[in-house]
Amino acid sequence: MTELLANLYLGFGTVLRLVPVEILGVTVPVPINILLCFVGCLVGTLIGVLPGVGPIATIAILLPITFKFEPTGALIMLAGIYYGAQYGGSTTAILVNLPGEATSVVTVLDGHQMARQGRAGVALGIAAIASFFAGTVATVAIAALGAPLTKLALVFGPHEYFSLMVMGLIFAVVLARGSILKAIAMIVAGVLLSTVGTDLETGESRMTLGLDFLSEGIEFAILAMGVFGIAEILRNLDNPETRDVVRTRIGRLLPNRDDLRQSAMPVMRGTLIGGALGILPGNGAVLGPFASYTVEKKLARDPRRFGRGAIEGVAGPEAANNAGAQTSFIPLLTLGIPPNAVMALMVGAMTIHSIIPGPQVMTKRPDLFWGMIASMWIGNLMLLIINLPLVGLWVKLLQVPYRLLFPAILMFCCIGIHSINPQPIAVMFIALFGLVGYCLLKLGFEPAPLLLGFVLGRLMEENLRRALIIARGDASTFLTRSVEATWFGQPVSIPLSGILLGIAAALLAVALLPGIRKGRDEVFTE
Amino acid sequence: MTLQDDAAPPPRARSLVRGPQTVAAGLVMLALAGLAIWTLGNLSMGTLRSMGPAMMPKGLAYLAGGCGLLLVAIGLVRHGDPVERFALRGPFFVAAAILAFAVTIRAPDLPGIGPIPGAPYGLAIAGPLCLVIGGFAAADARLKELVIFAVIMTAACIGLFRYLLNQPMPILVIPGVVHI
Repeated sequence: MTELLANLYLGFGTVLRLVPVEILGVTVPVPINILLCFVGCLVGTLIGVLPGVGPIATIAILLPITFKFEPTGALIMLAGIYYGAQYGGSTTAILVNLPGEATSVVTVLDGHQMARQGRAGVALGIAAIASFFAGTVATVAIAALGAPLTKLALVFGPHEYFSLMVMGLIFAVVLARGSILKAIAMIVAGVLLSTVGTDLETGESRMTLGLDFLSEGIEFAILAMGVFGIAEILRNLDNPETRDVVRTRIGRLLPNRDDLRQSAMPVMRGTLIGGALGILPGNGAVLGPFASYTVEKKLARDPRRFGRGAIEGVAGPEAANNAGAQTSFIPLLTLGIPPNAVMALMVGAMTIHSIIPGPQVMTKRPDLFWGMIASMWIGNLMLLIINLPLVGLWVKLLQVPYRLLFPAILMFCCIGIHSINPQPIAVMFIALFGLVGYCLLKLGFEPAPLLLGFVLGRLMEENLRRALIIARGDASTFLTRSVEATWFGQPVSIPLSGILLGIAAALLAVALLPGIRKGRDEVFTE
Repeated sequence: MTLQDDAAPPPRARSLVRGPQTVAAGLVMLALAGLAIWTLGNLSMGTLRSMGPAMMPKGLAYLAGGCGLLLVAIGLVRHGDPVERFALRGPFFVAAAILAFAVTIRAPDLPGIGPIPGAPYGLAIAGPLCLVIGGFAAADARLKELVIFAVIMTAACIGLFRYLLNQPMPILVIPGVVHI
């Protein structure tokens, strides 16, 4: 407990640290990290609010601006962007009846109904409060679970890492929307793309088509911005806009006593459900809001109120959404394995700052680790403070027609890529990947598993090679190798790698069973 | 039979392809696998004990091909969605806008053509080109509105990226005349 407090103290110390900065010739101490957190939340919300731009696209678009700062500040800013984007998505859902992404689909149902009844303010208010509460609980959970899980990660060798990543990818397949086979295909394609470039072991170039540009591999930011940023624009252009911005007044923002009383339990349950599902690899964080909504509807005395502006239908899922968004950092920070596409973007960002996510971050860079955790809480607090007064601004922004919004987004993407890689071909590649992403969407492929496969690909190849060298080319090592651990003081050996692969196989088999598949389809279509 | 009838749910027993979208998806995966195997050429696979550079990518290419075959097979047997209509206007103008930005942000040096001496470049040229060309991707684009918007947005971006964020980015260079 004292250790936890000491760690949190270190974290808050990092976030609140004053750095002397020279402004107009005068050296002034500036709390730079908290400023970055603030700017991150603000621009994250700004882009996230735009209809049709979900958190992944937002982060992909804003990624380049964080590259200028030192790693701690950059990651704090990035986390701020993430929460901002999440909250921006909910704002759009409530005000426009247009879910930016999967996690705010549920918020639309009751949130927009509330807005139509002139209670948009209350819906936004309760969403912010629920998110803040969930964020606080999740931050404590991460801080408490971080240290023990990191210790667990230290027993992992290349075998276990490889098997863990296979399991993570299988989870991603099972929890993805739509066809399982198509999700597998996307993951394979993503891992395949990650092998483009010079082979680190032998120095030979693979699949570069003779382009110098590809010899160091496909740049992560370019792929992400193409398949998410540009492809999203193209998809949105296909659907003529039917934006239904609330015309009624926003109303008061603070929920009254009745609202709070009705929301309290849903928020608690939502936090619990979302937080637990968020740790799961794959798309766990997406399931949280759905699960929470279903639970609230089942528990409600009068389920008919749902879909007609029930405040529980906003409070629960929003809490679940935010809790999941936060706990999905756990696998990334402790094991170094991104559980979903957003976290894959975080890995990309960390790698660019030459930080390899994983257990060693906590031991080698405790200020970064705990600073990021502290910034999560501060980010949530900031969202509460900046968003509610700025609601008017977001409404104005939502009234800008898409025909002007998207060229601006397009230019931001170009400038962003140009600032991280000044070769013209880098900018051209986002067009290429954008077109590819658009075709994939048209063919019913989801691009998120592709990105996850791409990020895990290099790690997988490296660990696979190492494990096979250790086992002298015997592939059965992944099933038989065991790690030494202590269980109640007794030394035991556990075939951890085999267990992980077993879980993966079982999961895939279960997901392919006809009965379960039907249930899974229902979860996603509801 | 009109197009509208095609879109309606009743199964079309006579057509060979029952799930066109799935078949198309499978063909794309097969093409990807083929492309990967072709570009890998004769790189060595190595052995399990010491993996060669082609082992992992080739293995993945076969997996991708396998997924493709399965998708094609499923698409032939099971009823599924039709292939969605591809829009041309959006992708064309968006790609053109990005290309225009790419070649005018730095001194133009086109592959195959080489550098173009004397051509102006910089954000003040690339920005408006990108915004106006890109703007035409929308069916309801208006030229006058776009031009005004492009001027304001470019000015704002120059201020933001070059001066506030200190990105090293040429603003306007006309060789021999201006260099900002």
